[in-house]
Amino acid sequence: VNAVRRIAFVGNPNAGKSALINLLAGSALKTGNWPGVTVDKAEAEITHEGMRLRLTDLPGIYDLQPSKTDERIAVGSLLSEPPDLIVNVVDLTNLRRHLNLTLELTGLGRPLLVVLNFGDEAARHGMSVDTDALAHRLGVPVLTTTAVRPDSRTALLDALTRDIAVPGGQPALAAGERRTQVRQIYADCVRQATTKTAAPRDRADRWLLHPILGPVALLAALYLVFKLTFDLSGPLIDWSEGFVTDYLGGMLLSLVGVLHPPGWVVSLLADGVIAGVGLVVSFVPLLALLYLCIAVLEQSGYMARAAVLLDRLMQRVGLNGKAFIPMLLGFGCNVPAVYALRALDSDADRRATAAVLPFMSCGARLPIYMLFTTVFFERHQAGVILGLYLAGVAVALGWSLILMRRRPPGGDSALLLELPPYRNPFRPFLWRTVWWRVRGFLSGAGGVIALCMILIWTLTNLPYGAAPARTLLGGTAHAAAPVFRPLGLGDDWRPVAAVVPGFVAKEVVVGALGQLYAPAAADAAEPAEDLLRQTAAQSAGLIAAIGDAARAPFAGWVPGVFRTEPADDGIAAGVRSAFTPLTALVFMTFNLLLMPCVATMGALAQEFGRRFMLVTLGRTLITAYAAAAALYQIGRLLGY
Amino acid sequence: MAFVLMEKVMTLDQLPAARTASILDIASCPLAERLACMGLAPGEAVRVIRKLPWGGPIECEVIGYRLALRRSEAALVTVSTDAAA
Repeated sequence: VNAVRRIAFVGNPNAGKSALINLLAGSALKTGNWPGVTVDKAEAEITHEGMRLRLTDLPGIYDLQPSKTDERIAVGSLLSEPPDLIVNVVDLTNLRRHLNLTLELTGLGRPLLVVLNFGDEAARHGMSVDTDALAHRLGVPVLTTTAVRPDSRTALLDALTRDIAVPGGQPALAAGERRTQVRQIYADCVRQATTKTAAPRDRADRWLLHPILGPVALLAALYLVFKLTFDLSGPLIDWSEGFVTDYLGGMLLSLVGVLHPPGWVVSLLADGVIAGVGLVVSFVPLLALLYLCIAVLEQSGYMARAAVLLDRLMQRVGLNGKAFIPMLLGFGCNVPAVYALRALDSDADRRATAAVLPFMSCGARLPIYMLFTTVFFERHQAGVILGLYLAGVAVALGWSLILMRRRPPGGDSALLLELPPYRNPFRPFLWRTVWWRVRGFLSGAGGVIALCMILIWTLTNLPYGAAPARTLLGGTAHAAAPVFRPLGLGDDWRPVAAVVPGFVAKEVVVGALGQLYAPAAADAAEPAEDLLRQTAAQSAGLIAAIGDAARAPFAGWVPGVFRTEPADDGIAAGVRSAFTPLTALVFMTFNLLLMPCVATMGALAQEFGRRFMLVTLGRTLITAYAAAAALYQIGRLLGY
Repeated sequence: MAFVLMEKVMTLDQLPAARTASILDIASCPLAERLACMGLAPGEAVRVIRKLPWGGPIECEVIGYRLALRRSEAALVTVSTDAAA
């Protein structure tokens, strides 16, 4: 039995490492990261011709002197646990910059294999490389591949199992000497046809980076992203939550029912566990679609253009153009957005963005808006929700501006961004990126949400059988009510009680309202109905939902999830009696700006330290309270 | 020599779009090594592709690829143009 051969994939950003390793490992690839841009190492173990290979995908680096977090991870891993083989993935269309790293890698004293990627693209550009000469000059084997072609898989796997010698005779070079040598090697090994026709990228960039049309195109792209995300996910959100709570939950309850459990067990299962899982699952369609759109924009190369277009504007408020992608991710879930900040170049930029990221309205806050706008703002639902999203962005930019003024001038903010050629996203890799990010939400925020629902159930039901106002939550809410009086929310204890879970996870607020106003809903599950008919009904429901989703984008200009069916009658009636339109708006604003959920706080503490997390927490608490109070007082003055 | 070379020295942010120049020097600063590593090193040729409006970033071509950088960063790079280029 052979020992495992440890193989590290190293290369410049945009070399196609992740796509290549995805081609080799497929579903075997395990990752705890948020790729698209790889910001942490990912591993896969595969077997080829009896040899076990452990592949590690490292974040992109330009040299072995790391200057930011993801690069430190890559270089640190390379130097502290030297792999049995280093695979240097090189973008052939950008050979000169990539060779700089290659030369540096030859000095590490480990076996090295150079893989020239994007061979077809280089050929199209009239570029030809003498790979034998290149291999000779570098003293290492060189292989040409195209990541998107399956036949390159076997050739690459064969090369990985071969014995490769340590490159010898390469003295360590100073940076300047290395560049000179790269220039010579390039001149000797590469033939570039001199026909300089306008590349497709130039034709596209003439419009997409145009002074006027560029920003217009960016706005159009953003509109399309949100339109598709909301339109397509709306019907599926309804279906997926019903599928879990009514169908799977109903099955579970009828199974448990055989044991004749006490009432509190059934209640805990239905209102705590099943409702929690249903809630988590209901976010998946929205997140998956948003992340799919973002991944397409990233992998096509457009996101780099968006960052360039926005840099000047974002610099004015103390942010970096590159922060645009994490902030966009934040509209899905704040947790992967925090990790995505690793791709930013400077610590100052990362902290500046992280401080305001929680104000980006994540998908978890949407159900709160949907519930209240259906009850109170039926005719202006889309407008109100859009307003809330924009208010979140405005508060984020406003705070960033304030924080920028307080920072010492100068700093190490930088924008050095490669603008890669436009490329077709590699489909299998696209799906995997989306799945990784959704899974990141499920394992990060999802677990917290499910636990919170159980916690809320405990708080609303203990002592068991007591009147709602006398439960643990009721008691706490009564005590806290005076604090919320300036917000117009202190008169009834229940809105206050619904705010409490919002401190833990936004997504639980609607569930808590449900438990507070419609505790009887648990009995609605009908275990008597036979399984076959239920399955048929669920399948029909799914088909109908997909049909609705397919039609939705053509229904109008306004994104469609905003037009929801009237919410669950119990909750709707309860909300109608406890809130006014003004306090509903106050409640939504408060939840929009209120502290990040527990999962986001965990991510912030992990990336930036506990102190940073606590300061951010304090900032959001103050902002939410002040904004909600101001809104209520002004609203009252205006006579609402 | 029969013709005079019109050499002009300036920083990269002053180089007009569509013009090529060769890099003379990089101001010594924490960013210098990074710029050199990205291809903005003495002796290399650099061409400005476009300048984004309102003081936005500059897109340039260097060592065979496209790089966007801020004008403040481009100001660290001294270049020289000559009529023959």
